[in-house]
Amino acid sequence: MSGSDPRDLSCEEVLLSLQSYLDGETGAGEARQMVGHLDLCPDCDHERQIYADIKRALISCRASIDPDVKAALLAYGQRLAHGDI
Amino acid sequence: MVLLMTPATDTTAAFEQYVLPELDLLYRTARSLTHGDADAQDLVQETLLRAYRAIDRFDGRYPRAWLLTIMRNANINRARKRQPDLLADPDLTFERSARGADNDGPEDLVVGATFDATVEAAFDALPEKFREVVELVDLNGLSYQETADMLDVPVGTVMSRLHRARKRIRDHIAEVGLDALGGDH
Repeated sequence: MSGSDPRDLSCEEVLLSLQSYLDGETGAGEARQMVGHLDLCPDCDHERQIYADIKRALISCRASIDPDVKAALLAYGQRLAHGDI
Repeated sequence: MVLLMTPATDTTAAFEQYVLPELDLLYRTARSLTHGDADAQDLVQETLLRAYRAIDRFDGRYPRAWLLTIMRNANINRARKRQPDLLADPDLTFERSARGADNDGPEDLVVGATFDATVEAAFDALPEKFREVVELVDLNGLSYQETADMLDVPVGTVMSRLHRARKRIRDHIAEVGLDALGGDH
């Protein structure tokens, strides 16, 4: 999809900003332009889906915190808070 | 003199209000900055100790940013104590690696794996400086600016490392033929 409207983004521009868009780091105006392009461009939307899936996969692989570690750190913090350290 | 051993009630309350709710963030961030869980726990404990000592001077605004700054400084001190191995430019190292200098690429690690496992293997194969940026943004939910502050690099460097790292993961997905799946896996 090439931008026929001067306000439209080209595929190249969309792919350049795609990661920032998925990270919520683009401004509202650019985000609206991105959505407008992605709605009409299956190739760019496919890339959006892949990068969104990468982000989701990374979170699911790495996000867990060992509850024993969490409990130990919390206990340490509470001892600090109450002057026991 | 037991009273002198007991912290002021407002100190305890402030610590419990501003610091303890951020333990998850602190631990995840520490894991991104260190090698192994034991180092991460040490860094969190050091951060908690520094935060406790400084809580009386904290104005209550932006506790997350305040704690991340404390952790960043604590981590810099740890690195200085351990080794001054700061000469290698991670960006140049990454470029050399991306051009094919590494023979033990993620494709050697994953055969017929699922999308998630492929992503994880490609992530593990990233150079450390690029992996830590992905961890800070994707896993810990830090903004580009927060990540830049944590690592003491410009925002543009964060964006460059992050985008190239994910592009490398994305390219690996294409190499193993998983990019046609879209979100269905």
